[in-house]
This record gives sequence, C-alpha cells and structure tokens, in this order.
Amino acid sequence: MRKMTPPMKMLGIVLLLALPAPIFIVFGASFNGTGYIQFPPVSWSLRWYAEAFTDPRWGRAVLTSLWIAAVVATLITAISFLAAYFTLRYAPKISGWLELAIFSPLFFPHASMGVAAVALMAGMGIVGTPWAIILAHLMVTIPFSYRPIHVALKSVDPDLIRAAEVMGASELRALWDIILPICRSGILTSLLFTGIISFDEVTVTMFLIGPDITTLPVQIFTFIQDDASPVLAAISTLSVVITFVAILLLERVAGLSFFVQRQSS
Amino acid sequence: MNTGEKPTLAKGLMLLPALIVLGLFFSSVIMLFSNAFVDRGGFSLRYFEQIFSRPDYHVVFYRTVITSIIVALLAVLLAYPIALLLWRSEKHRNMLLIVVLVPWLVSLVVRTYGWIILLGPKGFVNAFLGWVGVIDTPLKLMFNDTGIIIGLTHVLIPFAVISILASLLSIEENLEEASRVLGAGRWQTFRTIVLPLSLPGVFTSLIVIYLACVGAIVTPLLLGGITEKFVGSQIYQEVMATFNMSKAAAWSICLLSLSFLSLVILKIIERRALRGQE
Amino acid sequence: MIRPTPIRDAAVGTIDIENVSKSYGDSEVLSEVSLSIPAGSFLTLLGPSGCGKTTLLRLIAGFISPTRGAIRIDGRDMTQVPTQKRPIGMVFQNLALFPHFSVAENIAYGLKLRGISASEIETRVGSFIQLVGLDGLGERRIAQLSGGQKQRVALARSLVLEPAILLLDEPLSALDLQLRKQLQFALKDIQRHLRTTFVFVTHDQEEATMISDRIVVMSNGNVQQVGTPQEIYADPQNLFVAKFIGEVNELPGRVRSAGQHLAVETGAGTFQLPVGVARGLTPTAGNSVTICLRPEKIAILDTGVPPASGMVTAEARVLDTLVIGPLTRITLEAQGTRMISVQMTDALGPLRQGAMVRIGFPADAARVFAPLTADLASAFGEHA
Repeated sequence: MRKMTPPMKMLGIVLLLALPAPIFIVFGASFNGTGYIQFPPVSWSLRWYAEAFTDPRWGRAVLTSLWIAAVVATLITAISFLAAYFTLRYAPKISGWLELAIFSPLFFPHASMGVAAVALMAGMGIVGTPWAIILAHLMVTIPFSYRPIHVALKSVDPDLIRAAEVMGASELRALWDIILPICRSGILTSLLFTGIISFDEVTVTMFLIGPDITTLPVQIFTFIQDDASPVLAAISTLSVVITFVAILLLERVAGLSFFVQRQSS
Repeated sequence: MNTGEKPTLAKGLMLLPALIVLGLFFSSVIMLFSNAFVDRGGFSLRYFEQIFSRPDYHVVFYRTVITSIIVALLAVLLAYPIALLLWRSEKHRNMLLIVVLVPWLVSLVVRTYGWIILLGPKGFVNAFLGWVGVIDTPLKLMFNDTGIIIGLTHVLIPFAVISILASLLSIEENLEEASRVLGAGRWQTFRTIVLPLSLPGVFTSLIVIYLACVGAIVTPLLLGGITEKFVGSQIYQEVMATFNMSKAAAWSICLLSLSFLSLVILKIIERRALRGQE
Repeated sequence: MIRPTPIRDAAVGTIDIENVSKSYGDSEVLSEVSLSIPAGSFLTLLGPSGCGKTTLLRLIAGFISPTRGAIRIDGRDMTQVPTQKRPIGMVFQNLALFPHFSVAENIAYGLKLRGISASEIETRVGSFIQLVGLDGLGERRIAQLSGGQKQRVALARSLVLEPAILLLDEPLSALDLQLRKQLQFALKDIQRHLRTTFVFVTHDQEEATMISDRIVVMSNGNVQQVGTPQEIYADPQNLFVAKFIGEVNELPGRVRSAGQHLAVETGAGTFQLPVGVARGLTPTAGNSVTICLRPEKIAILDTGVPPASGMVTAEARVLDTLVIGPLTRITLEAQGTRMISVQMTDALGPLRQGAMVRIGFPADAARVFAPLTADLASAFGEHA
C-alpha cells in the first residue's frame, strides 16, 4: 500500500516539475543573446550578466537586501527567543495569548499590511529609510520566527535546566550551555527562514522604499513595469541562486522537517 | 520547560522586544484606521461611501473574491497529487521537498516574471506557437483574468503541498494497513482514511491561499495589467500613483473586513467538515 | 575497582526539616512535615504516588520553596539559598543527561562551572567513570548508552562534585528488574564508601527495604513512620504502613473487651491478645479494629501437640499450597476469612488441599490498628 498507482505517480511528478518551471524559464532567458525573448533562442551569451554587474543600481539593491535580511533575521530570532523562553519557563499561562498576538499578522492580507505599515512609518517620518523596511520586516517575520523557536524550546525537559542549576550553573550559564545548543536547529531554522522571507519580501516593502533605498525584489518589480529587458532575467537568476543556497544551507544545518511538521495550535 | 519558578520583573523584560514589535504592528493598524476616516483634515466617510456606491468598484471586489476562490480550489486540487507523491517517496522526500520549497521561497516577483516571459505577447508560448505556425497573431494570455489565475495558482501551490503533506505525515502508518487488512480496496482506503485525515491540511491551505490571494498586489498587477483591477492593485495605485492615503486606507479596511468575514465563513465550513475528528 | 578516597567524615550533610508545609492554591501536598536526616545516612522517602515525597525532595533541592516551615542543611537555613548554592547533587527520575554532551562532558560539566583546571577535571572525571563502572565509555554520546549505563553517568555526574547530600528521585524506576537489583547494590556500595547523605525517593517498598538505613513512609503529605527497614516491617505504627511494607494478613474485627487482655472478635474467631499490641489507638470495647499478621508468623501446628504458651490458635482449611524454593506459601481459610501463611518448605509436613489444620500465631506478633481513613485507603484502591 506504500505505493501509488502509476498514473497518479506520473501526475504527481508532472505537477511537481511544473513548480520550478517558470524559474527555469527565467534562467534560460538570462542566457539569451537577443534583446527580447525568442523561440528558438538564436544565440547564447552572458551579456545580461555583464550588464547586471556593471549597473551599480543592481549591486546596491542586492547588498541592501542582503544586509537587511541579515539584520532582520538576527533581530527577530533574538526577539522571539527571549519571548518564547520567558513565557515557556516563567509564564506558561500567557503563552496562548502571546501566540495569538504573534500569529495575528498571518491573517492580515498583505495589501492591507503594506498600507498600514506605510501609514505608521509615514507618521514616524521614516519612509524611505532602512528603518522602515526593517521594522516592517520584523512585523512580517515574527510568526515565522516564533514558531520554530517555540517548538524547540517546548521540547526542552525542565529537569535539564534543574540539573544544570544543581550542578552550579547560573540561569545564564544554563541558557548558554544547555538550552541554546539543544534548540540549535529551531534557532537556525528561524534565522534562515526569516532571512529568506526578508530577502524576498516585496508586497509590503514596495510601499516603504524611497529614492535612497530599494531592495532587490522591489527593484525587479519596478523594472518589470518599466521595461522588461532581459537583464531582469539575469538579476532574477541571481536572486534565485541566493535563495536556493539559503535553503540548501537550512537543509544541511537544521533539516527541513520543521516545514512538514503538523503544527499543533 | 516550565520549572515552576516565579518570574521577576527584570526577567519580564525579556518579553519587551516582542511586545514592541507587536505594538508596532497594532499601531500600524490604528494608523490605518485613523487615515481611512479622515479627508481634508476632518472626519469623513467619503471613501467608504465611494466604495459602496460605485459599481465599477464592486466589480473589483467581486473579481478579487471570485478569482481568489478559484485559485484556492485550483491550488489545493493541483497540490494534492504532489503531496501524495512526496508522502509516498520516503527515500527522496528531502530532495523533492527542496523542489517544492525553492519555488515557494523564491521571490514572488521572480516567479511572476517567469510567467510574463512565458505568457507575454512576445513570450515563450506565443513565440513557440508562431514558430510552429499554429497562430499568426499572438494569443492574449496575459492582462486578463486567466493570467492572474495561472500566476497566483502557481505561486501558491507550494504552500498547499507543504501543508497537505504535513497532514498526511501525521496519519498513523498502520491505520492504512489496518484498513487494507479489513478488506478495503485502495480507493476505498484513500476515500475513508487518507482523505478525511488530510482535511486539516486542505483547509489550512484553502484559508491561507485565499487570504494571500485577496491581499495580493504584485501578481495581479504584473499579469492582470491596469485594466483588470484587483483590490490589491487598486490600493497600490492609490498609494503610489495618486498619493491618496485616505482612499488607500479605506480600501485596505474594506479588504481587511472582507478577509475576516471570509475567514469566519471558512472556519465554520472547516469545523463542520472536520466534525468528529480530534 | 579503583576508588577515590572517602571524601569526608560523616559530619556534614545533616538535613533538618522543620514543620514544612507546601500548598498549591487550596491543595496542600505536604503538611507540617518534620524530619531529621543524619549525615552520611541512606534515607528513603517511600510512599504511593502523590504522597508528597517528590515535593519534599524538590524542597530540599530548592526548586520550590516551602509555604511554611524551614529546611536546614548542617544547621544553616536554606530559605534564601538558591539551588546553585546548596551543597547538594541530584539524580533525576528521567536522568536529565545533557544529550549534546558526551559521557565525560556530562560528568565534567559541574567541575568546569567551578573553574577547575582541565588536567584536574580529567583526573577526577576518570576516577568517577571508574567508580561507577563505565571504563572506556567516556567519549560515547548519551544516545549510545544503555539504560543502566545512563544511570551510572547520572550518578557519576552528581558525585564528582562531592556534594554533602545526594538527592535521588526514583532513578531506577525505568529499568528492568535484573538491572535494578544490580544498581541497588551499586548505589548502596557507593554510598557506604563515600559517606554522602543519600535521600532516595521511591514508591517501591522492596527497593526501599533493600537499600536504606532508614525509611520514611509517607502518605497524603504526612510522614506515617520513620525507622530502619526492620523496625518498619516488624513494628508498623498504623495499618497504612503495615499494608504498604511487605505482605500482611488483615483480620477486621471488633473489640469485645479491653482490660488486662484485649479480646478481638473477627471472622476467623475471637482472639485474646496482650494490650501492648495495639498501635495508634487506645482500644475500648466496641471499637472497629484490624488485626494484622505477617504471613511468616502464622504457623501450621502439629496435631496432638499442645500449642506453646502465648500461641493463639484457630481452625482453618488449606485452599492451596505453592512451593517457591525454600519457602512454601499456603492459602488458608478460617471461617470465611482468607489468610496467607509462609513457612520453610523443609519444616512442613504434607498438606492436602481441603484438609482442616490447626493454625497458630504468637499473640505478641499480632498488631491491632484502627481502620484506614478514607484518604489513606485510596492509596490501595480501597473504599473505606
């Protein structure tokens, strides 16, 4: 019974392969020698990559997206860890309320969230600065960070903490020596997962950019609207590669089982 | 890991950063409301009245909802065989999972761009058909509802795969064998055991995909163009082109209310369908 | 086995528990417990689940604070002393070994926290690995160990810090019988050698009698009796203790008269007992009481020979006999009351099933108790 009927299996395989298909199309288009997408391709070239690398706007956008992703992932992982650690260890009674609040952004349509974010950031006078983007990304990523950390912390046996304390460890030592290493994969999942989300976020971010700052996906979006030069294909390929590497890293250091765990709340 | 100790106030500070982030989120919602009910410096319901009275706006909401429902159903339908495939292939599951995760996590813009290359007037499909000689003038595959539906469905299938797979993986292994031993056929086992137990994943997908669709901006804007408006693309235009924050906020609130209403309805349907489970 | 030299003379490691109560909301899990634990002793807190034994252990460890009362270690009040600063070690029920550390790293952890030099740590860890019999397993991961080996790591990890007191919370409960016996002896051996005060929690009376110097029988948040295993077995102070430790024949009855002698009427007959066998009550005529008899005290008497003086006798029917090596277990029935007698197989004549025999027991071997209160009876699944 552990087998599927051949037609069902074929269907599954075809559909599965259709998922990354548009990405491969972008990939192929990026090596197209002519100025517009043509079939069959007339010539192959790396000219769009050369163009992408010489245009300083792209380099800047890539770097901006990378550093914002790094800052957001680090901050939100630390924030979620502190909150989850405190609630699980000292105040399990408020755990349900906190989760409700943390997961509520998930039920917000992104368009509304974008307008709400721009309304707030405009009120604070920071639209068009990295701060606006970072703060908005913190709001967007907090559920995705809290979940894996909460799951990991919840599985820590309280007797391990007590054992460390009986042996003379202060709370901080026990946290550092025992709890953090045990929660390693949850923390790494949070770091990489939120990093990827921040790096690729566009719907909320596009409301918050300004003349001085834009992120890679938002810039791709703007360029698609203006003119669809194949340089976009080269740049998109680059962004896919970065995301892909991050996912492989995640698989290596923490495994992917988190994504397919049945979530219990 | 609760050790039964009483927290001190100083330790309570650990909660503060998270509360700040949540505080920002809730203040942004408050700001949204305070923008929506203001026009030229005073309280006004102008933009809400506008939404309720203009038939062309009704069409936009109507299109958004109908398209979202179609996309949610289509995505779940197409995701199910993929989830089954991953569930069955224990050995290669991790590799196959990456094939699902990468399209899920790669930026929306990039995935939509792929569809533009495919479906555009000078795109891959038209170029191919022209080269073969099937068509003389390019087919209109984009800038219409079809384009939006194709794009959104494709963008959201990976999530449905993951959440249905999670449900499938939580089915106890011997349940199926038990059913077979008791004499149920392959199809009957699927229908009476596997499908009902995977319903929680199906409903999670429907809800999340529906919500993602009604709030989508990028895909409808790029594949639907300016004429086939979505609520999201309308909102985008109000903020970015006409700089009318009040109108955008009013639209956002209507979108928000619509989502909550839909969420409630979907939850009721879910509860009914899952009655007896858990 | 190479052993570290004994660490101390048995002067440190005294625990005084003074009127300690612990409540959670309205429910009191410990009420007014007072107990003195001498340094260097092996003391067991014994009782059914929910009796408060683990709570008492956690109070000593400092994981929780008493609602009322005080705990002193070597005369020092521990109320304000956090767990980290108490002179204790602990072996947890689930062992709580650090899964990401090796065996040696687990044992070394506490020493590292104390800032001891690496070479010193290596020496000490090595000698304790030997003490608990884990030679050569220092580099193993915890997941690669068997249940018994894990137990030994948990023990070594605590003992290497040379605590004056070691708290053990049912550490053997997850092991199979054979291994359990083996580790019970090992524990006893190590304790005698190191002269550390061991406070051991268990619900298994056999285990408690086997390894302890002293047993504290607890129930419903109260101490029922404190004493050596022999004392508690031979002279239980109430019906709960009698029933909880070892096997016992219960003869429920009513006091007929109480004067120079105690006459108790039971289903098996009316027995004349010395007044001194009553425990925890002053018997008066009309009292409901229970006579308790250990199975080995009930003898099968030779017919024709008059019973020795001080023997109380009755007629009984043999229902069943079961030879368990040197001992034989005889199920008897005396006018509807079932009794068990355990005798040396060698000393026993042939017994036919269904035969009527004369049984007897020394009058001063019996104990007379008041019936169990409802809350104590629930520990045995009975309804009073």
